[in-house]
Amino acid sequence: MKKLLLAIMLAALTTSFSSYADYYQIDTDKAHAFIDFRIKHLGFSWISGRFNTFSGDFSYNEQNPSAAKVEVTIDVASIDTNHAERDKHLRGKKYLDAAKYPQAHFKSTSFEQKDDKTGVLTGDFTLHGVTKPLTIDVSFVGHGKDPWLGYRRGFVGTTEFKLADYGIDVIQLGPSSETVYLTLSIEGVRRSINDDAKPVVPWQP
Amino acid sequence: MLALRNSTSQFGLISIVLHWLIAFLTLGLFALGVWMVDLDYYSEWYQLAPWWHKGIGVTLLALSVMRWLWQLMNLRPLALASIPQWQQLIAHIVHVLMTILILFIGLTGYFMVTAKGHALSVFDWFSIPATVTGIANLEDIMGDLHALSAYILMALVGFHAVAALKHHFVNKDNTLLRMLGK
Repeated sequence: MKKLLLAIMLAALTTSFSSYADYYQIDTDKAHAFIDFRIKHLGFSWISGRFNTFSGDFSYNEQNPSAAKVEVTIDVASIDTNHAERDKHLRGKKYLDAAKYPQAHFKSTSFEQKDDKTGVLTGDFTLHGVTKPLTIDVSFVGHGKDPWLGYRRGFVGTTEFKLADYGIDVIQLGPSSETVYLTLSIEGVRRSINDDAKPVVPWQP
Repeated sequence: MLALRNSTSQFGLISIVLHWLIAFLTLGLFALGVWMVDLDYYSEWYQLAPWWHKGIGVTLLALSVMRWLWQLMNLRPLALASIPQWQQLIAHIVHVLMTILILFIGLTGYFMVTAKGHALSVFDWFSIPATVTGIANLEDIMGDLHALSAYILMALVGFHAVAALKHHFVNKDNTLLRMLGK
């Protein structure tokens, strides 16, 4: 009995220790993370924009990369294409319907490391009230001690999806604007459980 | 021959012209606004309708300010003595509210268009620079207020028009005709 208890305590200790070592909060506070998107305009050129408000965290450990996890919650109304009238349209009922679906959300389900620098992240992506599996190609950028006594890790994720798959009707924008391309430039700061890490925005489906 | 300025019993030509110009532009802008927000992206009017809406909107705002200043500089024709005091009061409140709403709708339109720093172009003739920017979702808040206050204005305009017609056809007095120069 005592041995069992000891084993449980040890397990709990190592679990909390490993989450201390691997847990990163995405540095949205100091804006070292970006969710950029591109979509074609009339088939002639590209429009780019971003979501200004989001939060999330991830865990990653080189010793056990397949245990990596990512969760991000995006404030849909924070869409910014540098044009007030367009942003208002995009938030409106015709497109993102941000009043009804204020959050978008990604939660990973698996991660497969390909080599030192790349991997494939799979997860559930929720947008416009629709949840679908989404695959994100990940390339690692770097990690290490930052100049301010912290430890950081960063990667870039790219993915694409058809807006219609999420119930967003873009037929009237023309055939070249069906697909949106996302680039996620993510930098996380390593946190401990006891750290004064700010709670990430809760996902409220 | 109608005088340019108001007297205590008559509206002058300038008051009358401003009244009807503002009335037609207000109705036209409302119809244009309701129509244009549902335009298809590939419609030829998609860019052009807002271009007119903004230009006319600024014109209307300028005319309303001019009308208000002109009212300050002029006598106010007295309501007909046959009209009860409480009706005169309600009429006056509606007049003031309509003017305030036109100014408010104009300003919310301006703050919506310029919410991210873009200037408001008036007929590509001149543009009004942005002043208030950097407030999250300002364009949405202003857009909602713009639409809501436009609908309230239309309710008041309806009331105002029905009241004028009632004076003409039911009371058979000169209230409506006075605004036509009688």
